[in-house]
Amino acid sequence: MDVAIEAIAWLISWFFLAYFALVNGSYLFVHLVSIVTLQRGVRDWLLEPVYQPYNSPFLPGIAIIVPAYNEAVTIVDTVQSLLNLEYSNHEIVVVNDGSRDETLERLVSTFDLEPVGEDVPFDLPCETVHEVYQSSRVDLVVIDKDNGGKADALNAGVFFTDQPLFCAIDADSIIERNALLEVVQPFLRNPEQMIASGGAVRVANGCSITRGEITDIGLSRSHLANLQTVEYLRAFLSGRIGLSGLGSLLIISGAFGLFRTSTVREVGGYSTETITEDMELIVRLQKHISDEKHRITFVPYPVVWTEVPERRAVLARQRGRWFKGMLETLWVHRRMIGNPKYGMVGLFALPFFLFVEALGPLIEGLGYIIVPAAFLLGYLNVPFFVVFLGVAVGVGTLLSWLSVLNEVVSFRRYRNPRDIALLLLYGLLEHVPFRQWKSFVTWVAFVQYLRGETSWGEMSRLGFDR
Amino acid sequence: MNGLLWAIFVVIAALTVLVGVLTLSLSVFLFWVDNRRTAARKEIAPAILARLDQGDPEWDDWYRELSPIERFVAREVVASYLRRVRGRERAQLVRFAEDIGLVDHARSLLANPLLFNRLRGLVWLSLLERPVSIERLRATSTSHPETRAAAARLLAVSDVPEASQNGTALLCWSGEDRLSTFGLDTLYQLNNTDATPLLTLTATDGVWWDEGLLVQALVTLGYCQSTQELVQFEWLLPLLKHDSPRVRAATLIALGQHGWRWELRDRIDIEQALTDPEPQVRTAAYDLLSRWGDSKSIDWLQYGVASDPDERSRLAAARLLDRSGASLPEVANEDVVQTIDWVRAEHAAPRRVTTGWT
Repeated sequence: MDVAIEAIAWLISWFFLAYFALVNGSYLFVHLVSIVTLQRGVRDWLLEPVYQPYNSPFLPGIAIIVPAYNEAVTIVDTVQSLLNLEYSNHEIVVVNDGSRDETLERLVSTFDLEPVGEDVPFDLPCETVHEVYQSSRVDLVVIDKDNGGKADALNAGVFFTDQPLFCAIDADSIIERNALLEVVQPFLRNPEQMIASGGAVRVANGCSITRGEITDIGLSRSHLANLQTVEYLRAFLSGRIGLSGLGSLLIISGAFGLFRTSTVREVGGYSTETITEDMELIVRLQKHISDEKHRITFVPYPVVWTEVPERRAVLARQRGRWFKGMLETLWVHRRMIGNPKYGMVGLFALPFFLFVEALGPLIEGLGYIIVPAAFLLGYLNVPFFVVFLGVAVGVGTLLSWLSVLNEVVSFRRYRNPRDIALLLLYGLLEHVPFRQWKSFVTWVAFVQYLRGETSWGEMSRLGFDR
Repeated sequence: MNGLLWAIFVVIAALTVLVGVLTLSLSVFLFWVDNRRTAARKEIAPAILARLDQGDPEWDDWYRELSPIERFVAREVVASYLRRVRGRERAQLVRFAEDIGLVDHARSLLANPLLFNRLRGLVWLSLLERPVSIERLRATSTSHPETRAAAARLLAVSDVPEASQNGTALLCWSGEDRLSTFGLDTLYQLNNTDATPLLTLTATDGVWWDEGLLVQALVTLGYCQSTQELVQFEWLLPLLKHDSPRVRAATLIALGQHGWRWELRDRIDIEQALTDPEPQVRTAAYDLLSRWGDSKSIDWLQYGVASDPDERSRLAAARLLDRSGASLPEVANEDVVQTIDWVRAEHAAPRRVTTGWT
């Protein structure tokens, strides 16, 4: 009997070890691609062409669309930082999505907005619009509408603007002054081909912020925020760059993405049926452009800074929502998975998201319980367990540290070696115990998804100037 | 088996530790370099600015005394200032670059097998406005769209004969590669005051070009001036019946700029453009009418506001009509009334109507 149990324990443990190797091996592969892609990006960045894009008649107009729901704490700072952006042809469209706080009032009073007083003369596929406010001194429009969720608010802006490109950003984010000119670069290089480009999102907690601008970059006093800092570095400086290099980008963060307005309208705008509308839109765009020579890309240099949760309960809700949104998107577009008609997206990106991003944390969660239990019960020997830890924790840490290396070599937002040392430490802690906690959160979200619970949950904001 | 497992663990652990140590060491080294550069920048930038005012700044002697980091910063500062300053100060900076051998180095980079280095050479030569013969540019820069655009820019900023013709030909070299915005801007700079090179080239070769490149050439013509005879524009008229709505719209944009010739205006079928099934073509036609601005064009714009079935094209027509100072039409149609009411109400803060950007 014991022999049979031991054999089963070995079999299951090998399965988990293989799965961990698959997950971390896939990430490592994507990271290696990111290094090659980064070389090309650095080259483009270094070779700044000899012209003034601001003075060029061919600089495309950009509408910055900011969906705002109960953002009274941060909205004025956000709009102020958007007005200060270095770009000569942009307008800001804030969509007040039925806020119950003073979001609209603060905007109207701070920027001297005036109501248009007439109905918008074309269809806006969103909840009822009550009023459109315009400013006579700055390029700012505020659409006041009934609450319909973030996707609905974004659609109001996408279908309202006249600009050929739009940039979707979160109301609680701070965009760097030159970020718009950086994120539009792929469109300037390939004006005919480019459909969407995404910029990097970084953690603002711990940074000094004055009047809507980051003035000093540093780490937070919150361990949870710093763990997310490393996570974001890994996601953006390794994952997104690598996936973009493979033509397999499935996510452009809702916090900072630039899109061709006409193409997004062609596919019907953002879906109001999914929780993570940003990912779903990109998958739909990839499906739409699969047989054409169009591109969706990621550029790491433009940065938007965002406030991340510092309380576990809030973070758990956020991560649960992201996970459920991913499952939903994969389910909606399940026919694309493994379908050669969609090229790299069908053959690599979607299977990667299914087996690594979606199923990975669930299987990992079981592995973290079963393998150590089997070891403690004496079914597994020391070398096997050590290799399990090496693959699960060691390779994970290696990946996080490689992302920190990317940061040190290429981007250098965090310059102080003390910050880098701390990031390396958090890179280790990210894999013990943060990753195990995330697996638990993922399991909870998975159960909720199976039960049909897809609510957003409340996100509390502390505000930047604290 | 156990030996293999231990070996795997040791490899993973060693790699991880190696990456950690490398990251930390590099961060310390680059932090030191950054601090040195920041300190150098505080000294070098004012020193360069001060020397710009001197009759004989003795750049060579001064540069030779600098440390490698200071020299790097000096080159960086010069590249940055060259993009911003004009006149005598710029001439001084160019002299500095010549004295320290930057011009010769940039010229030598043109023959480099690496695309990156050839582009670096072209960027520096354009910043310094130092011409290179068209034969050498053709020999070194025609193999890639990026080098062609950079070479055309060099021609655009250099005072050389036939720069516009040669630069335009370089940009449209293959007839297949669509231009970047930098390329488009260069095409515009080469043809801005006299569009003859672009008109001539598009008239003869445009029919063979990739549709996207043709559209880009037509849109650029919409920003350029020309004193050419009507015959130079005749090839544009058949494009108004092109299968592609993008070409039809771009043709209208081009004609909008050159329609000050009455004989050209009279040959354009406005009714056909305003009844085009594609809204983007009608919107381009409204833009053309607004540019012309004569009473007949205003009548057509009013017709467009009253009759355009597409709400966004109608709005574009109404905005252009309102901006031209003409009265908006009085109609009973509810949708049109809504458009007109909106345009009247938003008058306080008109927003840009963007047409032509592909």
